[in-house]
Amino acid sequence: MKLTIDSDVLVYAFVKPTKKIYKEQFEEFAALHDKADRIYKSVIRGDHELVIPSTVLVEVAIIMSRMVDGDIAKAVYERLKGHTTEILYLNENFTAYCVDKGIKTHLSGFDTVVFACAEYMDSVFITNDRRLFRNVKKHHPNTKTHLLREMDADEIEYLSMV
Amino acid sequence: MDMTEVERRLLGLDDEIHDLLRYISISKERDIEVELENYEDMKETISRNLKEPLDPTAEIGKMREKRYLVQ
Repeated sequence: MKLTIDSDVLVYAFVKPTKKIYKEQFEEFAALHDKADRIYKSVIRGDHELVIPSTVLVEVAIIMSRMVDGDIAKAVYERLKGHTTEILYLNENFTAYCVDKGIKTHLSGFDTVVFACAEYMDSVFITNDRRLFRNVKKHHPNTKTHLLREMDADEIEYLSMV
Repeated sequence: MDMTEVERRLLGLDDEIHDLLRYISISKERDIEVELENYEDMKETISRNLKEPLDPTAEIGKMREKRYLVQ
């Protein structure tokens, strides 16, 4: 199965929270980390193919540089790139495809690129952004979309096994 | 070359292919184990170096334009 994993979910996978830093938000973050971690490990094991637009690599690196530092952000970028089966760059064809999707949905540029990647590659889209999730569900009901925070153990297990 | 010899050599090839496929399979499993270990190590490094409790979804949301989204 092909997976297009949104930037926030990938950051949740790489960041194992600590109580010292996250304090009262620890439990919530840890639950999201566990889910994202299981999905990402299924990619490493080769159970699924990760297909993402290049913009996701940029966003993950930027957030990681703010959460930790630039060197670790670059290391995460390299690791993530290595685990990705296909990176969609904004070439002429894909840009035209994104424009077509964007003018119908009025989503933001990066939101459009990430969900358009899932449509273009016929992959399952996983995000933790509720508004993006709702918009994709509304405008593109045929896109197989999951909201990380609402994914239950069975759905993740299904992704882990298929 | 008689048929017995052909059969003997084909069986030898079959064994060889089987061994090579087994080797590839074991190598791939080892590679995956190494990748998973490296991933765990990277997560530990990130954990030790966390600076502030950022919410990835909120931060990436801020980086993306939101005005036109359905609330």
